[in-house]
Amino acid sequence: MIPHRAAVHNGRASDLAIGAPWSRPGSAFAASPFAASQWAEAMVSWLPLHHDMGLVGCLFLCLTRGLDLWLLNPTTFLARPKLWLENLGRHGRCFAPAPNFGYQLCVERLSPEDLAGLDLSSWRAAMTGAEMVRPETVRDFLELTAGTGFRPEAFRPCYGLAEGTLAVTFDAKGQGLRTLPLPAGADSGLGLAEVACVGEPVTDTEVRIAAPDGSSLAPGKIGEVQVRGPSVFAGYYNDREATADTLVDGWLHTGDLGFLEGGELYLTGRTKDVLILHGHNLMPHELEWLAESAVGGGGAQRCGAFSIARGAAGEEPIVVLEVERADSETLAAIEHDVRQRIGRALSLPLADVVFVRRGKIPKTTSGKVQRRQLRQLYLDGELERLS
Amino acid sequence: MNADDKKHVATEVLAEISGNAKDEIRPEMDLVADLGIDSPKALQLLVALEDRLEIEISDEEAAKLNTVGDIYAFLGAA
Repeated sequence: MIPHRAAVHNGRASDLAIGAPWSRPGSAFAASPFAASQWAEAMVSWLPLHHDMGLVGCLFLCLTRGLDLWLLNPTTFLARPKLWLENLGRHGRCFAPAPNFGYQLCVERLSPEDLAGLDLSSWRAAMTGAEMVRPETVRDFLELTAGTGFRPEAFRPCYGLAEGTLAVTFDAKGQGLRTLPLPAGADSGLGLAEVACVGEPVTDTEVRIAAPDGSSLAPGKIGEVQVRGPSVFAGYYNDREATADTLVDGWLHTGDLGFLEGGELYLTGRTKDVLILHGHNLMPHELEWLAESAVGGGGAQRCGAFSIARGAAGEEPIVVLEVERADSETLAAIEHDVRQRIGRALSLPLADVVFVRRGKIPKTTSGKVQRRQLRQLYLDGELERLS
Repeated sequence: MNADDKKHVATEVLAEISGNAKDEIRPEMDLVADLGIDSPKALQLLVALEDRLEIEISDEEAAKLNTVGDIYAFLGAA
């Protein structure tokens, strides 16, 4: 549940964060409720409106700031990504947010020749958030758009989540992508060599990094990102238990891992089991139920799903299944069945299907699969695969 | 264009999008499970087929295409 005041606050916070670089230091320009319309005329988006970035970041912002909103159907963008860029070159001074995946799709599908004649110099801010910002994607996108007048400093990494209405931190410096080398202790399964700075907390908002025991950590130390401020949500609808776990003494426990450096946030992983694929969150049990249905379920949970990233393409799902000893032919048949069930239901190819003996998937005493531990075993090459 | 030509174009497009060689593409292959075609790639596939074969594929028809063979059969009937 997002209180109205949180939605209003987040809009204003985004305004200040995006508007600041175009105003003189100390001027009232950035604080004006109509600031955004003075430096941009339109937004061009393909984000679905049920996505927090699409609903709050595009629709709400345009409605309250008097910007034109040019909305592409998400499917149209996936089919013809060039249309997004063409429209960005057509509607005056504009901005557009997208998850890393959107920029990556342009990089994979388009060549500089495809963009010949396109003028992207009026694209003021290209926000990137809602999933891990991948430095190689940003660089490839800059190479792709080098001939269009698109400015590298238009890239605005940001961090937000629905439980925080949307924006939590925002790159307010307007210097484009800034990175630090991947620190020790960061998640090795995200395929990152360096981490992108996602900026400083938006106005009236505090961000702290907490150790598992709840204490605040010093700059540079990795822990859970926690957020407090007027944009933080009121709780999950009809779910007191989940609310109590997430909202503690006014602090939103995001489940994301990261560190602060120079007052700015860098993300390094997450504590939650959710899979983030193409900027879309997927719960692991959606995959696990489908995989288990291929081996007949049978009561006890025998499957664990998680995602890892190997490169710019982003996170890919992996399924680990416990089986009775079986010959390789049977295993190959089960693997195909699992891939087909998940493929048909979710249009999701699996990066890997791993078979292990019964009892090899780490579980809690109550029988719940410990997915983070399972994922670490996989990353460390310590799962004994049956083949 | 006859059915064989259409099949040939479809195989070419499938190879291009999945990163497989043309002679590895078999009718029994599942688009997602065997060729790794996720939803963005599936749309890329539909657009490429529509553009190169100058046909239209409705959402209802597209939803029924699960295997390489389904695509061949659809093009044969189209």
